[in-house]
Amino acid sequence: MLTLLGVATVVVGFAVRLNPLLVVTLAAFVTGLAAGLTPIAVLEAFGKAFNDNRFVTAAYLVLPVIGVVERAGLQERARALIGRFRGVSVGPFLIGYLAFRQITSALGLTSIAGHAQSVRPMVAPMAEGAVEAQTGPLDEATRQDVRAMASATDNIGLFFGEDIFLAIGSILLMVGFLATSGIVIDPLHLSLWAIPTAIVAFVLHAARLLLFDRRLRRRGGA
Amino acid sequence: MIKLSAVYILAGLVFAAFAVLSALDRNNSRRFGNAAFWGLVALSFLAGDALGDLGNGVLVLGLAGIAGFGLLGRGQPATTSPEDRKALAERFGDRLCSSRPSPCPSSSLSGCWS
Repeated sequence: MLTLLGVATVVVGFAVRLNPLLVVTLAAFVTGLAAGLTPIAVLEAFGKAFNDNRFVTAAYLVLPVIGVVERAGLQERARALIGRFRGVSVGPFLIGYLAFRQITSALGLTSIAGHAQSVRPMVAPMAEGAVEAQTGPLDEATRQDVRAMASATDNIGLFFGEDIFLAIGSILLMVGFLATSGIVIDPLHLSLWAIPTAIVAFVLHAARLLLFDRRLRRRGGA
Repeated sequence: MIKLSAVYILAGLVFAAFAVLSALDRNNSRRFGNAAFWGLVALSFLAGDALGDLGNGVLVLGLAGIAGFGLLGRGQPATTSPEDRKALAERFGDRLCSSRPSPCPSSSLSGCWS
């Protein structure tokens, strides 16, 4: 039971806003010591686990490729693509953005869009503009609702799309962890099984967006 | 299938290159922190099995310490400006998205697991 002190360390550490990496390292040490291991034994357990799972870091081999493509204007291209959706109602527009985000995340392009790169400068203003075109000037509450929905769309698209991507850290970590417990799974299987979930998430959120669109139109009296 | 050990050597060499390039980057005030970090990662890939458990444990502490205590930084490399990128984006079009190759480590990794 004392090993749960590690969990407490994580909670307290994050609440106090310490650097997450240090918090996690400290929590791992606390857990090990609470389990009765000597500090040297904890260090050895760290080392063994790190060495066994280092292939997770091998995924960063793609960093130079991402650098080259971004240097050639990948984010600007993404912006141009999203900008083509001008003049569409907010529901279909955000559905289009959801599809874009999910598909690009499934292909591994997780940094092509995001809250800082696309939602704040583009998607949220375009969504607000789409609603205003339908129902006239927005009051503060509705404006915040639209922005929140745009952010939520980005989150959902990224989260359910990136699990389909083979080299994402979470998939590789799952594979590695199961392997150390004796269960050998092909990463491809994990990725393929993420596809039904992604489709369900898309359908559910698309339905929410259409209902949102309808609610806004009714609220605006159009 | 490409063996996992070959991927590790490739990764080790690439990360060692990152370390060297970081150390040479005079625009970065924290270049030695960067170099140390990537150097340790490269060491893990190239010699991880030879280091033993305790050695790897110390390596992990080193990585966590360098990153956790804020010894990493960013330089200002000579790269394209936002306007240049806009022009390049128009030139290359959607080939930017489709030209990105499928990540090499994962296909060799999945081969090794089967």
